[in-house]
Amino acid sequence: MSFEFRSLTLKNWLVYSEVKINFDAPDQKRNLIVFYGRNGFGKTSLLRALQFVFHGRLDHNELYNFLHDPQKNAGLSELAVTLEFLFDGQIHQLTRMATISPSGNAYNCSPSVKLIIDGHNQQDQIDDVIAKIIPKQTQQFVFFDGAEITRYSKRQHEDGVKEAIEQVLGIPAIRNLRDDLYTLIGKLEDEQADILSKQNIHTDLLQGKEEIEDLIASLETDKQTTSDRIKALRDALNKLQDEQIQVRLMEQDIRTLEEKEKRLADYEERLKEIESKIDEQIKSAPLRLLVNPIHNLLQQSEAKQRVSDKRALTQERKRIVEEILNDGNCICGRDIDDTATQVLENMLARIDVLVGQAGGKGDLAASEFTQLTRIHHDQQSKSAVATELISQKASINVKIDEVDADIRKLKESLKGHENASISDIYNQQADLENRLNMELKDQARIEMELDNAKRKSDDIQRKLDQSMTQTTQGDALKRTLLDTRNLHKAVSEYVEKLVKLKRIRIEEITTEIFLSITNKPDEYAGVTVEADYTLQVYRKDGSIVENEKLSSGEKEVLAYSFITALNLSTEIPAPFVMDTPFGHLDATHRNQLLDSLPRLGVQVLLLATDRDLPPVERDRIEPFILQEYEIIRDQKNARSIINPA
Amino acid sequence: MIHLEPNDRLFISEDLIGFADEITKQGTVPRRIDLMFLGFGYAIANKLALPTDVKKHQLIQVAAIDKDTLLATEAVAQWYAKEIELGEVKDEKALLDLICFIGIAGIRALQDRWKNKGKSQIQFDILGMGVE
Repeated sequence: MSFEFRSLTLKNWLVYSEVKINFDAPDQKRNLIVFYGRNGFGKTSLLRALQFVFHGRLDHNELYNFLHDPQKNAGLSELAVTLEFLFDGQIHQLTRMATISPSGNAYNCSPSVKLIIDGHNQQDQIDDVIAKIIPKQTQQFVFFDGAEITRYSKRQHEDGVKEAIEQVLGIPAIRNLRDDLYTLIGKLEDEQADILSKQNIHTDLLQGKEEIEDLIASLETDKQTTSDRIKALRDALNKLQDEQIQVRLMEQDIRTLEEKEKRLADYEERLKEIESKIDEQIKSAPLRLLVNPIHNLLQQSEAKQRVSDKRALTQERKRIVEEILNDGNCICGRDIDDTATQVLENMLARIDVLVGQAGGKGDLAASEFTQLTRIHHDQQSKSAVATELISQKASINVKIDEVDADIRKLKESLKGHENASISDIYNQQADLENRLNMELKDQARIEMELDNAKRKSDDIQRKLDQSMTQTTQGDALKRTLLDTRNLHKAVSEYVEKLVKLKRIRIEEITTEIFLSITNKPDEYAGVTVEADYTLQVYRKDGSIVENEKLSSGEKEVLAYSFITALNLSTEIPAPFVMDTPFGHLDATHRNQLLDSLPRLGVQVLLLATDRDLPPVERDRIEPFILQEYEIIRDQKNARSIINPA
Repeated sequence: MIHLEPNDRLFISEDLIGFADEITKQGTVPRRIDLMFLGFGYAIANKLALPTDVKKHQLIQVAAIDKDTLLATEAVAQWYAKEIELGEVKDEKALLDLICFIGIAGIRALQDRWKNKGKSQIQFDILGMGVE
């Protein structure tokens, strides 16, 4: 069994004058039919046409608004949308049309609908047939646009959404059977009471039964109220758990802040030490500036010392020459002659010159020389320390700036939450848990009382049934009543089971699709579908992601996963029509959603702008594309045309 | 070598008092006398010309200066006098004047060098000078 569109024909519909689009049947490999068109060229007009042909209940003005613009002043006009499709093995040709003519300042519209199934004109109950194909409430799961899709990811559904979902799942039909059986039981019991009262027997039993049924009704109400309170308490507890996670994260931030502040204090202490050393270095800087002059003067002093030693030697030589001249004898004992005397006197003169040259007092005492040598040596080694201090101070200042920036950022993020305390949340949690336990005890008590009351009611009923066997009519009624009750019980259990199974199935498919598309597959673990069909994403650690905290793109992915799951849960899944579905999505989400489309196994009509499907992405999904159409604008004639791309 | 008289006081020129106060108040240089010795070292390293007209403003006594700085300053001043051909320093008074005049020449140059610079920048400059 399948559901496939075969062709769509439009006449004077919005931007289109006359257009027919043929759709190929999807095979196992290719199921995507893509329409490319810029904004305003007519993508949404196609979506509206499909919505109109199935469930077009438009008033005169709306119909006029759907009329192709150039036709609006043409007097009598006809607009028509025809969809040919295969459903459950039969070819259906569904046409919805309207003739529109001006009438004074208003318009006369005559709408009509025609359905041909396998060549046979369907004369009546067309709406019932359509409702079986795509129920009105569920068309939102088949024809959807990106701009509206996110409403399914809300914490609470709008009115009618829950009913539409249950309609898709086929739950109302089974529920109706259960309700009908319950009504029948009531009628049979009334009949039974009639027979018994006519016989004037067991009036006390009948009265007792009435009382016990009132009690059961009252207990059922109490049970529902308690259930509601339990749900509210559980919701509040879940919310608190989320808060707890937030506060824990905050507490972690506070701890980080404290660590950073301690580190900052350490750095500042270190900076003080460095600055103190720098002060010392600055005090001794003048000496370091004198290193070179001291070096020079020490060298000169050494040189002077050497000259001084030489002078002492020369003076000794002078003394010897002077002695020889004074004695007139050579050291060998011979007399010196005039020539020798002359030579010695010349020598003495030269020595005097040398002594004079080497003259002048020494500048530095030996102790001063030693002291200056030490100072010179000390300052040379201190130069390296000074350089090191400069780089140390620069490095510690960078660290201080970094930690300071981190601290400011953390303080900013903690602003307004300074008083958040995990212990407050624990207290609230304990309080809620106490209340929940009390409510659960209350619920158990009510259920016990309800069981007792039902047992009593059954006892009375048994007694009444026994009395009924006394007449043939009563006996037959008793058996019917018994069968109906058993059937009702079985159907009630089946409804509960069915609802649960369907919900679990949808939950599984939604989770599978969501996890294949989400850009956080390592963080998210799945999606829960609640009893009211609202959705909740949960993480791998079990915590719930508040719907409000999901990004627009994530909400869209969540909603897409859900409605896809809903459609795939129906007996005959419908083709998907998606109008600009990637509005809020980042590249990862968009690509993964695109990848999921071929796996849906139904015909998919994708109405896309060039931004929705850039060439690279189009090439990637090319193996799955069945057909491609381009919507072109004929501006001269104010109409749009659809050509194969 | 001639040594300074312990009871004599070093001096700077009056026009430098404001700068010396500012730089010591900020904590850039601990004391005014440290600035004086920095100026002395800077002037020697850059062979700056000595000032001719100075209105003296007295600083601390020679006795308060640490021995290493004092000895190095006395020795280098006398060496420098010969280097720039001022001749031999005659006595303690002449040595005091020479040291202070060299210091003043240096402080004036530093005042110009450190114009528009903050404390850290000046300190980095001072520490860097020693390793030039």
